[in-house]
Amino acid sequence: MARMKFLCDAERCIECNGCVTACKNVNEVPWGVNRRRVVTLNDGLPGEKSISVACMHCTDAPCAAVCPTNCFYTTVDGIVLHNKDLCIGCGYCFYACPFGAPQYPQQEAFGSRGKMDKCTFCAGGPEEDNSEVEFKKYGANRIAQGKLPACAEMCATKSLLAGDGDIVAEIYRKRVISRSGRPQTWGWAQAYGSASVG
Amino acid sequence: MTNRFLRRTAIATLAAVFAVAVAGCYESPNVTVTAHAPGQYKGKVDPLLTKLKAPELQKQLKGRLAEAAADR
Repeated sequence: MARMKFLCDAERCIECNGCVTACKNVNEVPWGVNRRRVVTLNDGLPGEKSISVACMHCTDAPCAAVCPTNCFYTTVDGIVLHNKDLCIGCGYCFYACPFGAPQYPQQEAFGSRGKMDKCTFCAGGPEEDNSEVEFKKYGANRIAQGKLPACAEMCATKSLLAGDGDIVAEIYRKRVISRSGRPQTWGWAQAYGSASVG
Repeated sequence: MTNRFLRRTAIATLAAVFAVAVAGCYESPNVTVTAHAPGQYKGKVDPLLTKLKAPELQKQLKGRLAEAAADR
């Protein structure tokens, strides 16, 4: 069985925010909620790097571990989804998530939190697939239609990859070989010294 | 003497009425309580979970990735 993963190739990302726009457009995400963001390191300096970040659909998801209402579930493909009917908007998942993926729409005055919203890997939620209710609560369900997340499919430089983790890793490996040198995505040079060694 | 008898009768009657009233609030025992283990998802089942097991959909998704990630 496939294990769905996102991977952003920092060497290719040009900070165009096309993935952010595609996500907002396809899922009709409300104002104030960003399911996906582009983060730029050393912005404006030579060698700046950008990566597109959203829910990483963790294997051992900390959001699910801390949820007091146990509203999270994982699909057979490893996509972490949640049930908005069970969510109480407490914000524990936001504190637990290392990527800042959970978002809360401000629905009322005095900053009261609404139900948590996050990237669903374009897989909707626990409602009838591609129904109006599902779209309203969770956004598009492209996975049920045999499509991959809109952010990755729309990426102009093919920087953002989404799909079976094994295939994603293979594509990235080939790219690194063709670029020659170690991938710097995970900070190889910082951890093990010169990137050219080995 | 008569007063004491009347008071006792009144108390007994009130107690009987109270007992009948409380018995009227009794719920039938066939109420099923759903107990969930902690840390277990309790919500509605997502129909996508079944769909994802289909090999056709898996094949389609893999094909889609190969197509979407290919360089122009």
